[in-house]
Amino acid sequence: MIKVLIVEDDYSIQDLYKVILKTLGIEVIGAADNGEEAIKLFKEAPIKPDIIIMDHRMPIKNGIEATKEIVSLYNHTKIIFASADITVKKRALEIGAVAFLEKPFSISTLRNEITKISKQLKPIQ
Amino acid sequence: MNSLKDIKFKAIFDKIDEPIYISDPETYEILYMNDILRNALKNEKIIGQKCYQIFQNLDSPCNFCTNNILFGKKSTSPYIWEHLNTHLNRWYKCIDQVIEWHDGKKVRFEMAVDITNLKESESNYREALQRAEFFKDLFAHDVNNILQSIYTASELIRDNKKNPEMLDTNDLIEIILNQVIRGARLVSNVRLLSKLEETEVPLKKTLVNDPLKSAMSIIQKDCSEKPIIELEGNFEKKIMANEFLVHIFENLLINAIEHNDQEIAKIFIKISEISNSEGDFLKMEFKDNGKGVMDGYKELIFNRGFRDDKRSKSIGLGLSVVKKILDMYNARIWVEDKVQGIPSKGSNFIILFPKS
Repeated sequence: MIKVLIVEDDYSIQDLYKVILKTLGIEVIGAADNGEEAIKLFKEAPIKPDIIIMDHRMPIKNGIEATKEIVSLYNHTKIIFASADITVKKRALEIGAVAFLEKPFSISTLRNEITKISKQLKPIQ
Repeated sequence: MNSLKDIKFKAIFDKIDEPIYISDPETYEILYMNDILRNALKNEKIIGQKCYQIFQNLDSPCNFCTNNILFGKKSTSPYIWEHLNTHLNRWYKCIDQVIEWHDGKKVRFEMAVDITNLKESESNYREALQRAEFFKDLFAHDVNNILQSIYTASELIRDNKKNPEMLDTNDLIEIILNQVIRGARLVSNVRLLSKLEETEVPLKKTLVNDPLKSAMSIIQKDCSEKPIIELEGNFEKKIMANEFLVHIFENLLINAIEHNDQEIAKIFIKISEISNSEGDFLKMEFKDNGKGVMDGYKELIFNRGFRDDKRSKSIGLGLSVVKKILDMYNARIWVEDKVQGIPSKGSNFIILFPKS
């Protein structure tokens, strides 16, 4: 089962992501409301998530900074940026995000990205 | 040397509307000043006095004196710089030039153009830019987050028709309703924040009780799940405040209700009087049974506004509005854990109003 970590400071959106992912049969291993918490959860996770849905504008540590750190720790996890701030799209993709979803986006857009990524996921040796 | 009769440009300098003076770089004595500067200073005995005394009200040469730059370089081009004269509280654009005095000595010529109005315009322009950035950010982030929630919840309700057992649509409808309220509140707080920036409403002795009751009544009317609000202390106290006081209480109550997972939000409001080394204060505490505020967020939650702290919590402007109004009252606000060290047990928002 695909494992996802949600990083989003808007709790309403966090909850809705959980609902969507549940309907897609995806396991949510955790949710963080800022970049620092995301890194902490990521480090502590015994099995690393396959996908992270990452917001950008968050308190304490933003999505770009968190992505850089996570990618440097472990580059098998695919990061989907989900932000209303289109100005960070180029930077997000440069530092290792595999997709950028501009809010507001449809469920099918998220579903398609996850499907696409899940096909690329290779079992860890 | 007291007159400028030997300088062929005297007539021109005296006609220029900006202050001009010439001084000796070694003695700092003023050798000449034009009519506009002489009239402005209303002092007949300026020639021969020290420039730093006359223009800056100092006892020794200014630490920002440009003589070293002016006389230290080979170039004959003017040295142009900007300076805030703290004595006159005016900004000047200074154009300094080495010229030859009638006895052949190299002296300092300075024309100081008053750019105070320009500086104020620049400052207003920067402020306007910050506001524009703020609104852009608000739309780019908060409004789109609200739209995202409404969009996703609506799609889930639509798709759920195919599989009605999968989700509780009532929860999703509740999300949509909450997001609409959140949007309306955001608009209301943006208006309020904007008003706070643009207008100055004088403070007067104001009873705490009346705006508090108004805020409680607004909350009870608007909330589908009625919160329990308990009061302790004598609220018939006066503080120096204005019409915005009600918005402080309203936003604190909304905050306690919105960030709350309990079936019924409970808010305990206490008023007391305290004295410390800083003075006498009226202390108000708003304790709730909500989710609490994690340590890293305790300052950030008050920091959103036109001069935005980009690390601030993204949702809502309520607490920033509260902080802004309290700044106007010279009051302080901070948040503590209701139970020390356990944020999840709820928050205690504390305000200290100076006693009027």
